[in-house]
Amino acid sequence: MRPIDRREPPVGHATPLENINQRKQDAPNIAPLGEVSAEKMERLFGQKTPEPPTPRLDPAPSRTKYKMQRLWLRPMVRGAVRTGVPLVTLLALGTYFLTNDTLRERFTQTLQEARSSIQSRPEFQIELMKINGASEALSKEVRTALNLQFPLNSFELNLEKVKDKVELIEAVKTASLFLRSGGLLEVDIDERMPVVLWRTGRELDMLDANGERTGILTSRLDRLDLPLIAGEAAEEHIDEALELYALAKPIAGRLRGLRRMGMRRWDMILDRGQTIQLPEANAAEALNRVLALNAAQQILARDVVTIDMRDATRPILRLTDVATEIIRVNATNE
Amino acid sequence: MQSLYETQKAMRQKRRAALQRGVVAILDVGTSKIVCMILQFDPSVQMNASAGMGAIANHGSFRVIGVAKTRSRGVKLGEISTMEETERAVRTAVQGAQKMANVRVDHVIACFSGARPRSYGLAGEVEVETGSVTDMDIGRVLASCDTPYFGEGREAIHAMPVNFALDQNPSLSDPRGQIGHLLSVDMHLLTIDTRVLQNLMACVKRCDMELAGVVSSAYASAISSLVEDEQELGAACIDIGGGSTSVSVFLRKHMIFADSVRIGGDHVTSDLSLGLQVPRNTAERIKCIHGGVVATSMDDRDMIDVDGQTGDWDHDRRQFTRSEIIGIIRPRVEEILEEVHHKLQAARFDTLPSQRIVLTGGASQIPGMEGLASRILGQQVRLGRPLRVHGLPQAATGPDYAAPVGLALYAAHPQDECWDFDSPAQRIGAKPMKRAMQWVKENW
Repeated sequence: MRPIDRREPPVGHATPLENINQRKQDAPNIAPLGEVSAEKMERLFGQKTPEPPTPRLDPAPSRTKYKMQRLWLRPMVRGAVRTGVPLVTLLALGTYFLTNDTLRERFTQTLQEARSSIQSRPEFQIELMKINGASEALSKEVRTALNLQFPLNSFELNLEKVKDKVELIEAVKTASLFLRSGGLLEVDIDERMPVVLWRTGRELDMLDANGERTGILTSRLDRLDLPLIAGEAAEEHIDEALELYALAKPIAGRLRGLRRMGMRRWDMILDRGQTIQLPEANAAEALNRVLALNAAQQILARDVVTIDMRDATRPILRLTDVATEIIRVNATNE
Repeated sequence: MQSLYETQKAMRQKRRAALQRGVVAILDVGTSKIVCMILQFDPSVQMNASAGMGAIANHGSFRVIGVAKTRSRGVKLGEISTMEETERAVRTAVQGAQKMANVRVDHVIACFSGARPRSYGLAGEVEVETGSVTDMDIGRVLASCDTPYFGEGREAIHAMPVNFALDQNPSLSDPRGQIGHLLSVDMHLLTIDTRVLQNLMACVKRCDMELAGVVSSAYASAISSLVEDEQELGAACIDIGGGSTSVSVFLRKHMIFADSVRIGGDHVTSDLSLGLQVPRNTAERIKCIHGGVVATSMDDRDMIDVDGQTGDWDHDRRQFTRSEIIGIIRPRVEEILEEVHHKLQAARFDTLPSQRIVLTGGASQIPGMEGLASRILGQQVRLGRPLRVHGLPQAATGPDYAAPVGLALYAAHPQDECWDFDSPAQRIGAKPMKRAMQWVKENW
């Protein structure tokens, strides 16, 4: 409580504002007479009554608090409370959980529900499949092979299995799968391109440059653009066959195919039953010689059945029976 | 005396145990403040001590790791007057120090200033049994001192062998192992009121701690405030505390006299409170801020507002000159110093080779104290501050901490006391079978 200030009272008329300010200044100096409510004081003097001072608390700790603090300063007690109690609590909770079947079941059930509720969100649904890098026929084949029913949950889709399934298709070299946002399953396919047809019995196998099969044809007419090879183990020497085909461009119109003979050398089959037997080594050189002969003397247009180039030093021609007969008749006539 | 002898011996054991644990608390129960310090002893030095280096090796090996101070309550004139209140204050101090140190302490060495200490100089003489002086001889010579009648309810708190004499050699500090015939000892015995000590013991026990030593604060403040040559050549330490002023006289590094005057700084405060008609808190504040003992003409113009906190405007707006305040303080301080002078005269202080006087304690900080003291007590007066101790916070290095710091030094390097040596009576009592056999041999 402050003592009353005994300054000279203001002389003359005080403005209402001055009056209020004076009252506010004097407010703490005027002690309340009897019980005056706080609101009334506030209304009267325009100022809140000061709160009664709180009695100063004894700084001394109570005996229990003092003993507890001393107990806490024991290293053993502190260690026990800090590590022992949490450890024991955890162990007790764990054992209780493991021994209580209903609790465990409820727990697993809740877990399952939470899991399925997350999985069934639209963000995890696959709506579409897009196939990149494959021809139309191949992508149709991939779609039928996978046989996926959309919409599909991405948690149920095993991308590894799908990839294996796609790569089982012969025309697919490698496949990579991506789950894109917006429910899109993207399949990038590296397709095997057939470069040659290989006749095995009734069917025609399409082979790529490495000799891998990319598909089966029933008719040669389906792929007239591809060269034809035949014979056992012919698929292992496709590059050689293609080289020979490239060389034989001048007689491409007459070329029927290449046949592997005895798994070691090539025969070039032309129409009209003609055959060029090529050696095991330097087949291209031998073919060049035949082509040169053909260019000079139109050897293939004659009645020749076989041009045997297997021995480079001694090319042999076999004529048709008619030609041999004509030669024999001419000789007798002379 | 036997019971206290046993108690002191037991406290010595506890002190040893505490040093082995490496942590000991010291407690200064003063009239105006209670200080608790926690000391940590260096274990490597402890190893030296166990290897036979003795108490000297402990010196300076401790570190203060916790200090707490609280306002003293329930203590009057350096004696516990209200057990409950004092216990609470001790608890506050101990808890604060433990909190700062983060260590629990179980052993406490305490000091207090009251209890009307009285000094006795004793002398004893004994023939050396074997050729050279042994521990047993020292025990015998200490036991041979004839103790005077202390009075009802008084017991010895310190019994220190001050000086040994062996034949013609009058001043030996440690005669053990020396060859001689007649061993004599001068012992300084300090007695106090038993009741006060028992109160302190009960108070410490109620705080869950064990007392590992009791020291008179006259002794404690002297070993921290007197420098080595003062202790050697003769000096008096005057610790002007709150409720009492303790006086101790040192010669040849031993305390030879201790006494206390039951007036202190609190009396100055109450004088001010009475004289100015203000509450004690205000009086204490005025004493600390504006106090002094020598008035100058400047002080006549120095007006000091004195708030009586009564609500009466006239009473609360008084002003005093500083001279008036000094006029209240000075007679009381003079009274204290004159009482001290009487005590020193009774101890024949003027016969000592050097008559240095060291003022310490909280009330010694009044400005002008040194001049006033030199006018009353003698020319060689200085203001003493306690020694610097490792780890002590800056706030606890003032002269008002002389007693706690001295207690810390004492804990690290205690003085040999009478009860450190086995008395012969006790040794015989310990072997009753042997005694019976001896009796049979002599009589049959």
